[in-house]
This record gives sequence, C-alpha cells and structure tokens, in this order.
Amino acid sequence: MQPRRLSIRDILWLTISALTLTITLLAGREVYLQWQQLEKIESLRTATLFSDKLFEATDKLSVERDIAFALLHASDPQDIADLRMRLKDSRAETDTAFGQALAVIRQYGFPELDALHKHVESRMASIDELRSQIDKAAMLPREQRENSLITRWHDEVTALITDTEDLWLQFIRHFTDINPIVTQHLRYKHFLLIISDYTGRERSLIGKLLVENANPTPEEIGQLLRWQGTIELSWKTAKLLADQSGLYTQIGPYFKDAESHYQTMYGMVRDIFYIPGNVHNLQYPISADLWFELSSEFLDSLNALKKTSQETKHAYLDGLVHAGQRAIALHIGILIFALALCGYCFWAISYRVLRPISAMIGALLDATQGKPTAFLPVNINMQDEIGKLANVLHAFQESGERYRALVEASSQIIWTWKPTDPSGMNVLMEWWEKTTGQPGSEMLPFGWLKVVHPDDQEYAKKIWEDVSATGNDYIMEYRIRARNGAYRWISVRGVGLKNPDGSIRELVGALNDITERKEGEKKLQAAHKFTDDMLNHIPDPIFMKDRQHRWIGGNKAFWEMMGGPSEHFLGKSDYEFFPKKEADIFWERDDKVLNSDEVDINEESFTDPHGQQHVFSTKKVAFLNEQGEKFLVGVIRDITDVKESEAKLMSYMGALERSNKELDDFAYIASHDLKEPLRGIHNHSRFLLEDNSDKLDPESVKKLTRLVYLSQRMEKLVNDLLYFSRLGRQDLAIQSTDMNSVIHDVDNTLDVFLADHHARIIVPTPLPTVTCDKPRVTEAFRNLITNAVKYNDKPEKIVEIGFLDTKMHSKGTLYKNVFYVKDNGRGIASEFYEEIFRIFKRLQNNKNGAEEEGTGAGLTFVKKIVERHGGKIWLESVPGQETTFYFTLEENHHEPSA
Amino acid sequence: MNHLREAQSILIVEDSEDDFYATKRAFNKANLHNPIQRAISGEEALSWLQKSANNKPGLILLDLNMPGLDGRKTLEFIKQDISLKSIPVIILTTSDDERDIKACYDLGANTYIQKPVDFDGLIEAMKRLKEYWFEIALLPKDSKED
Repeated sequence: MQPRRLSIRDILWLTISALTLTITLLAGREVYLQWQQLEKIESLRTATLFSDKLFEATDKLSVERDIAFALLHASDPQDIADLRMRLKDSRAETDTAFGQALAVIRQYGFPELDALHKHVESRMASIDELRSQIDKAAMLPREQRENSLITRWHDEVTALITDTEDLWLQFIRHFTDINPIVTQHLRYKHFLLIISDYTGRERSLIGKLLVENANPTPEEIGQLLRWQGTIELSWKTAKLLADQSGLYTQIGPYFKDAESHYQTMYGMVRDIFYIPGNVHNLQYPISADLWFELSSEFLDSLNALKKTSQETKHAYLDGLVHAGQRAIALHIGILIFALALCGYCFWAISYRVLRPISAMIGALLDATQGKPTAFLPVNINMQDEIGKLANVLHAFQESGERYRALVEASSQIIWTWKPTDPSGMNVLMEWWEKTTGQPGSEMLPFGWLKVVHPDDQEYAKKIWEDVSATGNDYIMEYRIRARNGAYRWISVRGVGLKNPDGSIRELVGALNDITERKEGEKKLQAAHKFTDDMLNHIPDPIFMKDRQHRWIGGNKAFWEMMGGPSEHFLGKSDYEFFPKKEADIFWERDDKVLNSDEVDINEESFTDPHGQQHVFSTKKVAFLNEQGEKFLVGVIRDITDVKESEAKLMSYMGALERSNKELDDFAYIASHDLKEPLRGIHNHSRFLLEDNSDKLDPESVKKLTRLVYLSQRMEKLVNDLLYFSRLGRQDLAIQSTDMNSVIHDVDNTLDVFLADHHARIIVPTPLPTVTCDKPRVTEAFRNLITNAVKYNDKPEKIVEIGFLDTKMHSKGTLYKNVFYVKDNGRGIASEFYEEIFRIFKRLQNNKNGAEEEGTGAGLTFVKKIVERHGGKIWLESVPGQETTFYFTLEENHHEPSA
Repeated sequence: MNHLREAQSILIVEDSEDDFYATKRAFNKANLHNPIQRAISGEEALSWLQKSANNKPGLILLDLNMPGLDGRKTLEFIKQDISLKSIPVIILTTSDDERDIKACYDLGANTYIQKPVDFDGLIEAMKRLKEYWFEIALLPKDSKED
C-alpha cells in the first residue's frame, strides 16, 4: 500500500480521539475514587449509627440508675410499687440498647476491641447481679436496706459508662479522618457524652443527699465542684467542636437551651449545698422529688440536643452519601459517553493511522497519573483535648477547698413557693423581718413591695407578677429598705416547676444580699467615669487597640479626630478608614510595639476625614490587661504646625547658608574681579603720568594724581570689606590670653605712632587673663587705641586701659568683666553712639584737604570681634573731654529687674 | 655661582593684557632686562614649555585665575614634569585666599605674591624678586642649561 501523508482531517480526528480517550480515563478514575470515598462514608455512617447506639445505651443506663436510687430511698409502699414498675421497663430498655450496640460491634470485628468488649459484657453481668440485690432490698423496710448497696450501684454504673466510653473511643478511631466535619462532630459527641455522664453523677449524688437529708461531706462537695468544672469545660469544648464542624448553626438553639438549663441547675446546686446555713441545718429547702423533677427538665433539653445533633449528623452524612452517589452516576454517564465517542473515533481512523494512535495512547496513559484527593486538615487532636481536660480537673481539685470557703462566706437564703402552700417561704420571711423590720406575714402577696426602693417597685412588681403567673425562670436585682433606713441591694433567682397541664406548681429560689457587690460596682463605675472624664479632657487624641489591631477605646479628642462617634470605629482597624499606604505603616508600627514591649515614637502622616493632611507624633506603648492579653495605647500629638515651622526654619537656614555663601563669593569677587579693573585704572593713570608728563598741563596732572590716590583708597576699602566679611565667617582661635601682654604688644607695635602723636598708654591696675582669640582681640585694642589717639586734640594724649568687675550700661543692664579704653580726646556726641560703629563711617570729614588715613572701618571691626566673642561694646563720652569704650568678651549680663 | 643669569628668559603666564603690561613695565623699572615670553593661558604656557625643551625659561610668573587651564592646574603640570619641576614658579595673583595659598605651596610653588594694586608696590615686588632669584637663591645647574 502506498504510504500517505497525514491530512488536517486526520490530525483533527486524532486530536478528538485523544481528547475522548483522556476524558474516558479521567472519568474512570474519578468513578473509582468516588466509589472508594462513598464506601468510606457508608462505613462512617454505619459507625456513627453504632456510636449512637452506645450513647443511647449509656443514657438508658443513667435513667435506670436514677430510678434505682429513688427505689432504694423510697419508703412509701405505693411509691415503691410505682418505682419497681418503672425500673423494670427501664432495665429492659437498657439491656436492649446495650445488646444492639454490642451486636453491631461484633460485625466490625476490630481485634483490639475484643478485650474492652468483654469487659463491658462482664460489667453488664455485675450490673445484673446488683439489680437482683436492689430488688431484694426494695422488699425490705427502708431502715433494713443496706446502705453500701447504693454506693456500689453508683460505682458500678459509673464504671460501666466509663468503659462504654472507652469502647466508643477505640472504635471511632477507625473512622476518623474519613471526613473532617464528621470527625469534629464525633468529638463533639464525645463531650456531650461527658456532659451527660457527669450531670448524671451530679444528679444522683445530690438526689442521694436530698433523700437522706444528709449534709454533703467535704469530699462530696469537692466531687461536685470537680464535676461541675468538667461539665463547664465540656460545654465550651463541645461548642468549639460543633462550631468547627460547621454544623452548629443547625443545633445551636438546642445547644443554648440545654446549656442555659444546666446553668440554672448549676446555680441551684450551688445555692443549696454550699451555704453555711444549710450545712448546719438538715432541712433542705427542696425535696428529692423536686430535684429529680428539675433535673429531668434539664435531661429533656439535653436529650433534645443529642437527638438534634444525631439528626444533623445523619442528615449531613446522608447528604454526603447522596452527593457521592450522584457524582458516581454522573461520572459513569460521562464515562459511557466518552467511551462511545472514543470507539467511534477509533473506528473512523483505525485504518488510516494506527501507529501514531498507539504512541498517543502511551502518552495519554502517562498523563493521567495524578495525586489522590487530599482531605481537610483536622484542627483538634482528641488526645490533647482529653489531656487538657485532665489538667483542668486537677486544678479544680486543688481549688475546691478554697472555692468552698468562698461560697461559705456568702449569705444566701433559699426559698420555695407554692400557690397553695407558702410555708416554704419561712426562712425567707424570717430573714426579711430581721433585715427590713417588715413582719414576714405581711410580705405576701405584694406587701413586700412596700420596703422596695420606690424606683425599683414597678420593675420588681412586674417580674413577680409574671413569674407567679407563668413559672418562668427569672433573675432580678432590686433595693430594699433595711431597718436602719439604708437601702440594700438584693438579687433573687427563681426556677419554676410546672404541672403536666402547664400550670405552675412550685417556684424555687435563692436570695442574695449583693449590696457590697453593687457598691463595688458603683465605685468601679465612678472610677471608670473618672478615668473617662480625665481622658476626654486631654486635648491629645488617645486610643487603645487590641492584639488584632482593632480599636477598643479612645478619648473624645480621638473620636473627633477620626470624625465620627466611637461606635463607628470600635472593633475595626486602620485599613477600613485610611489609605493603604498610611494603614500599612500604622499596622507595622503597632506590631513592633506589641511584639517587643518597646515604646515607639513615630511621626506619621495622617489624612483626616476632610482629606486634610496632618503630621502626627504618635507614642505607642503595650500593656497587659487583667486577662494577660496585650493591648496597645497610643497618644497622638498633632505636630503639623510644628513641622511646618520646622520646615520654614530649615528653609530660612538654607537661605541663610546660601546668603553666607553668596557673601563668600562676594568677597572673592571683591578681591579679584573688582581689584583687577581697579589695578588697571591705577596703573594706567600712573603710566599716563610717567609717559606723558611733558604733554600734560598741570590741571591734568593734578587730576591724574587724584585718580591714582582714589584708586589706592578704593583698594583699602575693598580690603577692609574683605577683612570684615572674613571676621564674621572664620572660626575664632580661642586660647587663654594674658591681656597685659596683649596691651604690651600693641604698645610696642604702635611705638612710633604714639611717639609721633605725643600719646601714651596707661594701665592703672593689672588686667586679667581671659579666654579669647588673641590676635583678634589685639586687633580690637589696636583699633581702639589708634582711634583714641587720632581723634584727640589735647597736647598730651592719654589712653587708659582697664578692667571692671561690673559695669552698668546706660540702658540699665548690668555687665560683668568689662574692659575699657578711655581717652582724653574730643569726645563724641551721644547721637553718634550707634552710628559710629557703622562701616566706613567717619564722624570727621577732612576740612582742609588733608587726607585721613583710615577708611572708617576700625570700630566696625572692633564691634564685630567683640560680638563674635559673644560680648557687647558701647561707649560713654563727654564731648570736648573724654570718651570711654566699654566691652565684654563673653556673654554675661543681667537684664534690669525693673 | 649658580644664580639666574640675565640672559635667561622669564615666562609670564597672564591672561590680562593690563596686568602683563604693568608687570613688564615694573620689570624695567626694577632693572630686569631678561627676555620675556608671554603666554595668555595655561595651555599656551605648557605647549610653549614643551616646544622650548632646549631653551627653558629661568623663571615662571604664573597668574592663578585664568579661563581654561587655570594657574593651579598649570602649576601641577609643571611640577610633575621631571624636566620642568626645578624652574622656580612665582605665583602672582589677586587672590589672597588661604586655600589658594596653601594649595599652591602644596603643589610646589616657590613663591606666592599678591598682585599689589599700587604700581609702586609692584615695582618693589619685582625688585625684591630680582634680588632674591638673581643674587641670593642658588639653583641647580640643570635649570640654567640653554
């Protein structure tokens, strides 16, 4: 046969067949996996059904236990007959339940369960034996019944429940990890079992005490406390596990109902048994019957919860099974369709290109190797949970004694009330009369309201009316007037019992004096208010955040800053209100403080609700609250204005720096660029004079000579200017300087000048040694001395130099350590005292054409030198007689006090 | 004696026509009559020095502030060139900036003179230069070779 090239059609066919083949293989694999999963879920469903049986069995057993107790305590023949009937039924139920449960377990045949299984069976045998003993005992009169039988019965039943629990735990271990939700739910069930077991123990122990009318021993009180601790913790754990399984939404209402029923029971138990008054008084305010009735209400709610939990779980499992079945059906459909398509494709192209197909099949087979389906991770390790539970139990054991002491110290009054028989109120009435002075007989029906605080009367009346009509559980707090006229706070809690027809049969209640608690609360409130007021009066915004960065508080300034009421922000965090960029920074800084315990001060930019930008300096500190949780307190200071002025200052400083630099440049310009043309003018004038003297008339010569002179003078001015600018710019060379030697130096260098002018320097007392820039201070003295001599018209010119400890300035400021230079010259009019220090200012102009030597910069230099030292220079003068220049070389003066 | 000889040329590196003229004139007044070579920039001075390897000047007067290659750079080149470094270089400039003075001595300048504005001052300076370099200072033989 002639070989043929593949056409596009062929390739299309090949592609389609490859695709169908892939789909076929994937669908097949999916069917297989789903099938496996479905099988597992089926087994899980069966297993949970089994575990429900076990639960049911233990429930039945605890019912039997209670009835047996009642029977052993009963003395009335009619009661005994009734109870024996009930016990018979109950035993049958228990046996059936255990029988079914144990039968199922055999089907599974897990070898490690055999031992436990046998154990449970042998316990059942001992229970059977005890049952016959109970029957015998019930025939005897009450007094002749063996008391230890009650204890043995109690112990044996408890042991069987515990073993059953173990069996369940061992069994269910085989099924965990099949489905995480069901696993959580099974664990949840375990804690329900614990609650059921321990409440049962509690119920029977209290029932026993009530029947015997006996005081609980300290061991029994300890036991009750431990059980309650276990139960409390189990409620919490069960809630958590149910939550995690995601099934809580369905069982939630039942859960809450059962838990609140238990809480009421718990309150009752505490009210009845842990009161000193009752410990010494054998008269319990409630009967055993009443107690069992109360607890049966709780049992009902617990059973309802169990039932709902089971139903929910089964519904979920059914849903899983159905979903699995549907998925399998769907995939089988896909598989068949894909197979058909695949077959058609193969038929269509088999005669054309067989080889490429076989290669492709190989490739496809490779591609279908995947991973098995992963399960959700399970959050709680059961062994851990049980370990934690054990720890809590231990802690309770230790704290039991302490707790008992605590409750013994409280004062509580227990009362019962029946519409027909108010005698249960006796204790209460006694207390009432003692406390308020109102005779107990006047209390009912509404007489007690007379001593209730006027503000509370309406509230108390309304609740009591409602309760006495409906029998609903209630708690109320109100004030009553005591004998001494002061009001006391009391708390009253009541539980109602109803007849089958729904009418109210009895109310059981407890009354507590809670005045101290209320006062404490009031003080606490006052303290809170004080803190709040204080915080709210602080103008800086203050806020508090928890570990999750949520606001948990703040002061008024903070909420104002945020631009809304606190409710707007509490519980929320930065990202909900600030641009991400800002929030990122807040968040990071918060973390730093919360993780390190360091105080953090940070400048942050913040956009207020009006979109205005602020700069904040925020100080954050972490604290621990009473629960040991970290929280963060931040104090904000708006430094926007400070920042602005800081920025302005910085820009001024920059400008100043630039202007100093410009001055520097100016000095350079003065020294080079100004001097160069100046030199040109000077030189050319000179050259003109030298080269053309014969051609120039005397007037031109005079003018050129003047030009030469002026250019020389100009150079001096430029040099002085340069020197002046350097005085301000260059650092002082500070050293310890003996001022006597300074004057000596000046005297020496001016030797000729002084002699020429008939002048002399006198220093009346030796001068001190001071820290200063010696060359500059020398310069200052030289200038002052030269001036003193130059502007002096006396034949003998005297310059006196001295030092004063203090000298008062004419404006009233007192200066210390003042030097002075005094002359006997022409003096200076006071209007020139300031002007004289201006650069190039000379008070005397040359009148007769004689040129002055100086430029008039000397005093300016002196002033600059003094000021660079931080000092001050001024002068005093008597025109025609003398002038004294005073100056200091350090910053030390006192402002006039007036 | 190994002093500068009257026949040796003096190189004046000066961009300002006025200053060059004044300097030349001051030389005359100071009775200095050596041949004077002028360069108006650092570049010109260096290229002239390269060309006159066999007729090196006895003294160089160098202005600092010039456009292009300024006095400092020129000084640096001269003092780094093994054949030129022994020629005395006199900095003659308007600047009395400490930084300039220090930098020039660091680079090997032999003398630093601020240009006096007063012409008499310039004459005085030139007289003293002549006195020092022609009568007092001793120089290595190399710099005197023609």
